[in-house]
Amino acid sequence: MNMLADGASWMFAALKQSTSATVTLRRTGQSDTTGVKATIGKSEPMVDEVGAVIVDSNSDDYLIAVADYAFGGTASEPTINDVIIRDGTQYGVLPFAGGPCWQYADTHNRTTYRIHTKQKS
Amino acid sequence: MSSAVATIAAEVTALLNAASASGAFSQEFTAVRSYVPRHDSETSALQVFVVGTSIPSIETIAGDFDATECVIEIGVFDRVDQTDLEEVDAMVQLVEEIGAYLCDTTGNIASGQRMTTPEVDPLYDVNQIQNGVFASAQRITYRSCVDTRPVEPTMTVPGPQTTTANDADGPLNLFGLVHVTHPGGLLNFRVSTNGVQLVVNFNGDVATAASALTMTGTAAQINNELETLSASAGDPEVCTITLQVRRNGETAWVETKTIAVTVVAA
Repeated sequence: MNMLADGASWMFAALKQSTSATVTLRRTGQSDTTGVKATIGKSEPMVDEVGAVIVDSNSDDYLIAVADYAFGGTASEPTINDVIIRDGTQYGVLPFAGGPCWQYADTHNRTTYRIHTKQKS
Repeated sequence: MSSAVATIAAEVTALLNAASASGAFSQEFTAVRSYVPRHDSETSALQVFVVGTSIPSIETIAGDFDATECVIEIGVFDRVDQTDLEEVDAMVQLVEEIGAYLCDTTGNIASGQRMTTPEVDPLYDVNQIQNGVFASAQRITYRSCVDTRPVEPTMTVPGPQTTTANDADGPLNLFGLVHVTHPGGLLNFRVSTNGVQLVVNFNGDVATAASALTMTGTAAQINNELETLSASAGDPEVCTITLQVRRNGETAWVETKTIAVTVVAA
């Protein structure tokens, strides 16, 4: 493991310890997974055009350890329409900026998901 | 409002809002006319934008007639759950309803434009709907035909007249005395006598005082008592008759003629 990977590993461990919130993961057909540590962030706002209308899009992102994103004890990649519940508010997992609904936050170690969500209306 | 595209966009906005308020659509909304419409994907409310996207282009279509076209875009936006088919279906239905309504009501566009078939593209934006936003753009081309023929009509007025004062200020009966003719049939004429105005559209038989004008072919005849004289019996007075030709709401030609009138004792 090189120095960058070591540094990233340390940083995500520190984030999880010191800046994370506790969330619940929900997926249709599965039991909720409670008590999951997640660090809350945001993606860069995206500006798009649909016809003559400018559309501003934002994504509430959750950094969750790969090992913690699990249902029924089995780790699973996030999928569209999973729901992350924080303080009673539901955030649906959705693609953002025409890309996937999640990506690795640490491309070296691949230990943390960056999951794109939008607060459900 | 002098801008054609702004006028049409405002008319479309008013038309949609009136229809929505009367329950013509499956979802109620307030359309907003804008030059820089902006939608925040966090917004949960249904938003409808009306945007004029092109200034009128002019094309001579036949002889004395020019066609003008301008494009109005109607954007429909709302938060949806892409997996909820009923919710997305309802938005698609609204887009269809708006297009169909405008197709059915082109006659209500005061500027006289006629709409071509609406072009819906996109029906919904794939990237946006994945992000939880239904975003649709519908472009409607409004087309009008402009008469470019010479506008000078002919107005004939009678020679000196006498009138009997029925009371202190007697009316002058212009029945059959003033005639307006024009070879075309598409122009609005505005005839006034000392401030009393009549408007006649030869083509559509529109007159603000329908009983005041008789239209035969391309001619109009004033057949009403239009003038109130202030002169006392025996005094001469001059009546002014002004004929305006208006094209697309603007005065294109004006002619003023006078009739000498003497009020005589009854």
